[in-house]
Amino acid sequence: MTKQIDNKSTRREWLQKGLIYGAVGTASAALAGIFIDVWFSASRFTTARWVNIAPASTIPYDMTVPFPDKKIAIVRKNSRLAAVSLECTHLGCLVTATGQGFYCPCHGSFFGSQGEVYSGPATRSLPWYTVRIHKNNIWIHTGSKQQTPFWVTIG
Amino acid sequence: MKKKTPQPVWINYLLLGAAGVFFLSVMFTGWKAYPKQNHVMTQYIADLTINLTGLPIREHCTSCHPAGRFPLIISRKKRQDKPHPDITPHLTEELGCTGCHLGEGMAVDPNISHGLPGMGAREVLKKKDVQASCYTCHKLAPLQGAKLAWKGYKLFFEKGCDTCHFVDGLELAGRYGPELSTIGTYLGLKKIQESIKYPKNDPVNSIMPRIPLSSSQIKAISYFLKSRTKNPAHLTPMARNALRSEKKVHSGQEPSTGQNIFKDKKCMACHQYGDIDGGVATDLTFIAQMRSKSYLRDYLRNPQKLVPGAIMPVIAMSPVEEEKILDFLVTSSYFTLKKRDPKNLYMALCQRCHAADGNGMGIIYKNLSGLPRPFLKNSDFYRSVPQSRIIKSVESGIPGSAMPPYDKILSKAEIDSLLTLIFDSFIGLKRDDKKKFATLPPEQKNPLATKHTKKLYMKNCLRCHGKFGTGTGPEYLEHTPRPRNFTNNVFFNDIEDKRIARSIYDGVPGTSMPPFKTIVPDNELWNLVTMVRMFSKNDD
Amino acid sequence: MLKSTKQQGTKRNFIDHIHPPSVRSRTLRPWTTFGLGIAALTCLFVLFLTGITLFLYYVPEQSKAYERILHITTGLRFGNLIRNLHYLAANGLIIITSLHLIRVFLTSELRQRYLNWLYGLVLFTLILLSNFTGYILPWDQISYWAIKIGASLAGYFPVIGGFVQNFLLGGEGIGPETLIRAFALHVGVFPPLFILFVALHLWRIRKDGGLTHPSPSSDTTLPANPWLYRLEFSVFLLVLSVLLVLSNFIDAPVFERANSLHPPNPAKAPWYFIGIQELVSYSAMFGGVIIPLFMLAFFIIAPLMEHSQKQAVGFFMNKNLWVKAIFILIIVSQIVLIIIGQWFRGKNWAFIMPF
Repeated sequence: MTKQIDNKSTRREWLQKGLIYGAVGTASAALAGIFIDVWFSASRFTTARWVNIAPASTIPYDMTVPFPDKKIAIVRKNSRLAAVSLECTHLGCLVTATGQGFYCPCHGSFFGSQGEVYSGPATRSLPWYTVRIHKNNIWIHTGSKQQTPFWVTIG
Repeated sequence: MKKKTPQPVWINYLLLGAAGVFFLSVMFTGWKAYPKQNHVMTQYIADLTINLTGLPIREHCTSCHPAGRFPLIISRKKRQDKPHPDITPHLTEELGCTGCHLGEGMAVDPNISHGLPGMGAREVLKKKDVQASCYTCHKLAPLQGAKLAWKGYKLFFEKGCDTCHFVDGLELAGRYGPELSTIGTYLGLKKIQESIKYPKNDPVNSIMPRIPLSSSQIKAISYFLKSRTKNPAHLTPMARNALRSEKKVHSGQEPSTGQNIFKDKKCMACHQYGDIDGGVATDLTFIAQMRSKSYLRDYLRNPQKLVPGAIMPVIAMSPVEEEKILDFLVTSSYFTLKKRDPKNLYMALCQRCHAADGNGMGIIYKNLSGLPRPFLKNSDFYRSVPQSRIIKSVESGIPGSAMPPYDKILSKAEIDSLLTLIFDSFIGLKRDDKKKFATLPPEQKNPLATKHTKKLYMKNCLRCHGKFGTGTGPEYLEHTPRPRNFTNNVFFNDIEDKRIARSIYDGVPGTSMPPFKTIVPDNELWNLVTMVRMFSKNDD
Repeated sequence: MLKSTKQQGTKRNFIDHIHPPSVRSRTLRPWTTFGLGIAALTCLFVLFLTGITLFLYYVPEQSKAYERILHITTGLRFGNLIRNLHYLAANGLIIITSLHLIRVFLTSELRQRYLNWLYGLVLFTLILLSNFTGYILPWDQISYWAIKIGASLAGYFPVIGGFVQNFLLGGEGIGPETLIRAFALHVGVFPPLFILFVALHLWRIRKDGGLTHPSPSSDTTLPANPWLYRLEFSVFLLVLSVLLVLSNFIDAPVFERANSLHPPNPAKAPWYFIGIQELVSYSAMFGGVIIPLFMLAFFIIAPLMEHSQKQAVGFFMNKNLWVKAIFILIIVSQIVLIIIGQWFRGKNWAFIMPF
């Protein structure tokens, strides 16, 4: 190689290099993005749906009726209904409804009537589901968890 | 590297170009492949697993059809989905969609998810068509909402479909046609309907007759057949096995009168008897007057032996039942006609096969072996047939074909007048107008089919008459009437060598058989006759 | 002009390791190799990358496989793109490696490089087998019946045929085992073998002294770094671009669910075996056994039939014309037969015009 490197040629060289690195780099990043999107796409498929729980008239006044097979409980206050998850936020045991709130038999977590944590290893409160009354049936949407009770009125 | 070598600078520009092309193609791909129109693809996709009779089924259907009952996805573009009609006691949440509606539940593409084109086995069933799924789970019994499917089940028996087609768990069935126990898994509704309506469409050489049915009847039967699937949900594998082994061919009860058996066996689903007409096969009202009882018995036991190529299946019945049916036919067979003039006789006896206008396309002509000879525009043929042979065909029938002997029910004078009518009004030929043929080459004594003869046959005859002389060569469906079946020994036993030689030598006018005068050398003609004889002898 | 940035030092990376330090300027000319080897490697790279991605979403189970394919092609964002890329790269690999094989046979002195020729043949066989096993995985009508035909073609071989059928299909015919076996071979057995033989193949080139060249060399030499690297990288990018662009327009086929009772008419083998199917339609013994065996034997021993002529390098430069003639006859006849079988055969394998 000759040692004489004039400025013009060096600049062109750097320009070319920059263009190539830039184009290939950007394109590779985009391509990688496509692949990463596919790899993480599995989470875009949701099992959330409306589930029929029971006829609304079967829930007595001011009672918490558990439905262990669906892992939820329906709370009724006067003519208002809400659905709370019975899955302990600690390790997923089934909590039992007591007069004051909910108690987890596995590790002794206590939840209040609003689902908030009183004590025990659990740190997050029990989530509440969106509820709907359709043709006198209670339906909950399994994909809609929220921190505060979602009340509906039986009308 | 002190020596200065020329540097391949072009590589730099190639690399620059390649980088540019790569950049552009990635950008283009990203832009093109990212879903834009299908807004559901960019959102969450409903992914439900429904446990239908122990077999988990995964579905994405509700991504686009949120109104199973409630909207699952409230998308940016509002979708106006009507709510699913109330189907209590069923629950859409428990049954899912594809259990009843079919379709490809895992696809999120408007074409693929609704069942790909092809046989349409998974094509989506809409509205009233959904009842085609009811009997995949429910037992065969009257069901609310599946009235047409139930009607189809009834029709399947009424129309005698079970005479040929076997369906699991049904009382008795023949195995003459393809088994239909799992047909619903493989064919779509439309394909089933088409197969019933135009049986000869696919495959073209199907022998299934076209049963006269209204389109609503065809629809009903297709609903029933669509529910015959591989793994019916109401049956455990054990129960399915038990069904399979259950063969109720004979009811075990003392057979009732011949007439009842005649009805039970659904003879009239195809045949005509008195006023009842199946519209598929011949008239049996006075059959016993024309044919002897022993002929009828032999025919019932093996139709293809007496009329090779007949499509009638062997009907399963006990000897007692067989005897009673035959007795019934013999005792109640009568041919009555108030005015026995030629026109009325033609309409009563000939028209069913040879057609009212004499073109050989009567209502049942397609279901007969070899197809009936046309009269209309067929003067060439009748000019070449001697008078005695025509009279003989009517009087004693044509052996090995559906043409019965008429000498028992018609007098000689009546036959004569009938023939005059046919010649005058259809053929348009005087009865004594006959073609004169050149003399045949001298008959060779004791000719043998040589290698050369076989080559000659392969070259000239095989196309229509087939490799084994069955009359089903590669081109046989293109010719009407169909090429002669050489294995029809009943027919060939009745005719002379001379006639075969004549047919080869001069061809058969009015058919696709051309004269081979110039192609077949004189010394090979009689060898070919021997070859034809060999085919018909092979059978017996 | 770009400066060669790297000096040949002690710090040599992997890329440096499998390349020679300097190459002849002839090597860099595009018509010497057409870049087919790198193109094939690029396809293989794409296949591995997309294959791993498809692996995440596929289930090799009869009742689920087809639905999973529908899930990938329609439900998954960019899933169809990935599958198309995999499909195109797989079919492109067959075409590219065939061209590579032709180029090598016609230009090189193979007697000296017989071992690498054999490695190449092994790789080509692996490619065909991988394609064949991959073809069955969607478990739709076209793949089911193509595999059925392909397997029955294998069955014509007297001794090996039964073995191949039993091993590849997990039985005499196609059943639930076939899918698991095809999957296991496709993702578990062939990819490692690919890596092994590609490594051997590349190592052997280096060992044999790079490309064949006319000797004594009158050619000038150039540093491999950067020239060879840049050229190879350009080919890599171009092939990748072609695959990407094509994958937007050519969809990997999805047909109806596999249906063992209703064969499509005509049922055709995968396109790379259609030449053999066409031959079998004339004669099972000749087309299915003798001609393929002859072809295989020819490919294995052809380099040995050539007598060495050191200076003859380049298309038709050496004088073993009759060996080349047989080779060209085989290639051309296969191409013609594949074209006839693919486009000129209709129902019942009858001759039709495609337009």
